[in-house]
Amino acid sequence: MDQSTLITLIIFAYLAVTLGVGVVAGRRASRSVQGFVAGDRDFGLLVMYFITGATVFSAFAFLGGPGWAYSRGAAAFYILTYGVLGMAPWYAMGPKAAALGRRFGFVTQAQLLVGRFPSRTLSAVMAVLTLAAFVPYVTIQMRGAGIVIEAVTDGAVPLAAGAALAYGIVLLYVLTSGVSAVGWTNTFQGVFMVGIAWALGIYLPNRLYGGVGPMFEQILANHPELLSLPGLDGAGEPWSWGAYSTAILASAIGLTMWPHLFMKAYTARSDATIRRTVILFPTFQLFLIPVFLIGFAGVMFPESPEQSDFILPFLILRSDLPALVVGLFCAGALSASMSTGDALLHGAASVAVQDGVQPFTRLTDRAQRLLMRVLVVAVGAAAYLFALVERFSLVDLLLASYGIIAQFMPSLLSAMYWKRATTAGVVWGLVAGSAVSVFFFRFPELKPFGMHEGILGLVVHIPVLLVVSLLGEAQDPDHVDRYVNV
Amino acid sequence: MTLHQWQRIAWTYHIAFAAAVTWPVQALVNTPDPFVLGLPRQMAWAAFWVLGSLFVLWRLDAARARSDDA
Repeated sequence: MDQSTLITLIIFAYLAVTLGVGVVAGRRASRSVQGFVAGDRDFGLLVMYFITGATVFSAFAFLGGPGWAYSRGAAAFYILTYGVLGMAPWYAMGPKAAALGRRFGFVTQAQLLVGRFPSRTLSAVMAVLTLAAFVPYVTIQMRGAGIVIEAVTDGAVPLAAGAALAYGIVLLYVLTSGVSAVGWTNTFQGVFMVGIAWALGIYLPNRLYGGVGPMFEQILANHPELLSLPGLDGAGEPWSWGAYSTAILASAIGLTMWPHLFMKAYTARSDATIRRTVILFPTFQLFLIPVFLIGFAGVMFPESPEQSDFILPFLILRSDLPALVVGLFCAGALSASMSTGDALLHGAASVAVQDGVQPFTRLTDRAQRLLMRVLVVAVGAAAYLFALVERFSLVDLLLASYGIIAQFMPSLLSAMYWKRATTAGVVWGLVAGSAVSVFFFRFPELKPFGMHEGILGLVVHIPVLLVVSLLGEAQDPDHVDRYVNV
Repeated sequence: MTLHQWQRIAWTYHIAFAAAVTWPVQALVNTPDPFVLGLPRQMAWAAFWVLGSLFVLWRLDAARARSDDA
């Protein structure tokens, strides 16, 4: 059997197992909106650990991370730091969000916000902003899957067909089993991607340079600019400290607020499960170290890929590795892409129906589930079209999404912790912060100190929220107590 | 130490973490050598803070368990 046939067989075997796990996982869940969206609030520590880790670490980490280490050097270190900073607040926020979910029957982030601040406009704004952030994020995952399959098949399966194949499987199991499929496939995929990353991250520097230390010594001697923070920007010029530091802060805040992660608080079996998931998260975060080592291994390599995001498959295919290892790598990269993409597709459809449609038209439980399935396909199709357009790098697309999602932070913290916040303050703060964030994304040359647009949005958002809330009439104290004193 | 003390330590630690990996503190830790376990010093610095988070949150959870039992 030749190499490409064996690799293709491994990919198909991986996809078949993933589909099987996803379909079987849904058999235990109830046939209700709560079963489809929140897994009947019954996920244990194992599934919560992997659903969190594998959802956070995506094609962006597995392909974009090495791409940044390879082309922008130390700039990539920002990715190593923000995950834990973003997850740590969940130790306190997660159990509180879960308690509110149990008390009021919430299954989405916006339901909690609109429960405290009753406003159908707010619900619709949250749904629109969530979808606006999710589509580029799903696009990243699809492009990641397509990149890997195109590279390992040497172009025989183009990016468009590879992305369609991988996400066809994702659609099948999400449509069949909802969040239960997301949870159990992420567990399977999480084991795969972490194992492959560590194995390759140690193997490649040893094979190409004789070890990790010797590799960095060579890079320091020949490209010292790559080992000095804040690293390089996309054009190969020095990045600014303002951009580097605010990328960490905006990404950490965005991670805390991602709706598809926030919703997982509603899936946990107990508060202890949420807390232990947060405690163990740094063990998942450290998998970025071997991911970066793979990218740095490409710096002194005699050949270069066309795009930096291709560096990982590019090295794999030029290191004379056995076909079995190449096939397993491909499965690991697909795991990274699909384990995030499935949660996003499921989250996008759930948010669109629960927050964008349900407040305006009361649908039956059955109609909601049907509409969610239709929207899973619609969001997937939209992202697929974007995935075929090669205009931005994976990490650039993700950073833009984080800018929008970071705007949810003041509103949600106010809902759970600030008694004096008002509906008008939250709505105006969200609109003002989002507008500023979008403005600076559109006109990056106007950003002061190269700061991230999400942080610039918060600079406007927080004062607007405070001033409008304090100028307005306070909410009914009994209503506020039901949310703040949990 | 009590649960309340560990809660304060956890908050303080993560604020210090954010400061340590951004400007201006990170600019003070910005030479790759000496390498730590073969890694550039800035990368090891980030990994150190990540591992520290694991320890602090673990101890906080242990304090919570003791508090719940009491």
